[in-house]
Amino acid sequence: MALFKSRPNRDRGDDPEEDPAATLSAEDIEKVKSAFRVDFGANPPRIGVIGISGTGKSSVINRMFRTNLLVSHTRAGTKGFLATPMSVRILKGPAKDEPINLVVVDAPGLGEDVRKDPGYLDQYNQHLPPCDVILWLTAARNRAVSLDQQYLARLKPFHDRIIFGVSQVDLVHPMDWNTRINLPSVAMEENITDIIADRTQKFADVIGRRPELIPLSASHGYNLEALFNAMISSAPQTRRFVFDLLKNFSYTDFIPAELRGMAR
Amino acid sequence: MSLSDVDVERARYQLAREEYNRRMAAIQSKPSFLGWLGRVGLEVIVAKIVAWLWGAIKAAFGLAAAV
Repeated sequence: MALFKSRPNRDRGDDPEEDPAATLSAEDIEKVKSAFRVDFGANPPRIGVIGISGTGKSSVINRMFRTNLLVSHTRAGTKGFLATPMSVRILKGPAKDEPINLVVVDAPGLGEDVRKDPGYLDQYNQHLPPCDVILWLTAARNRAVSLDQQYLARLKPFHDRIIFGVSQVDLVHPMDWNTRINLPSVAMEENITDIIADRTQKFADVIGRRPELIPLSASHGYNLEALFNAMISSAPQTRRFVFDLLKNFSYTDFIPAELRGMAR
Repeated sequence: MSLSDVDVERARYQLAREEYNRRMAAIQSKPSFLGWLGRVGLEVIVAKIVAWLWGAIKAAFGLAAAV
């Protein structure tokens, strides 16, 4: 049985991302693929993306997994609670190229319409429990966070599983994004730091712990690695690896070609 | 494209931070992947042992019937 023949060993200096498929026979690889189909066909990886309307929830998911959730820039794009199975492919490991469903529970944005919010909250409570990861997004430019706080307070059962992203940091004053290095300008970065400190305190007051807030920009691919790392950390231990196998971006995708050499 | 010293320093810092995050995600997901792979391997081994035992039993009974 070749499955246990050789494993990457970090103490030995092996690359932690070494592909275990290299040590498996074709027959074993087929067995791994079959096990994937059974395990993750019945219970696919599931991400809940929630937050106030217009924070770019669908855009973040589309960027990370190259999915095609509907994005609208003018009206609330997600009208109902959509548990959307997205067909994606495993990108590495013994089950490479195996098709799998990634279920994105894309929530309608809260605060869009006062008549709809109570119904939306009921749906949140109904759809969030099976999620492996719950991502709460708040827009960096939005200083009024009382709506976030109110809704967060009503989602108490999920507080320990929520990770927080502060989206659209490319729109922070003075909006002079440094396109040469694809980073916020120094002035923007100072404001982003201040925003993170402010929101961290305001969310901590509601959830009773000091959360880590990840500033990000889906349109510039800024800090998506940090957000992805936080997602992996918050996923149940036995399911973390599936997300890593489906990740469909690298930070080097978003930096100018001239800078790529610096990444190594 | 001309990069100032500050640009280079900031880009380097961000790249190092992103690379750290990439590695952390990979390291955190690896043990559960190996655990899952181990479980799949164990299932295959058990299935093989059961198949072998079943074959042995069938052979034994076949032999007994022949004798």
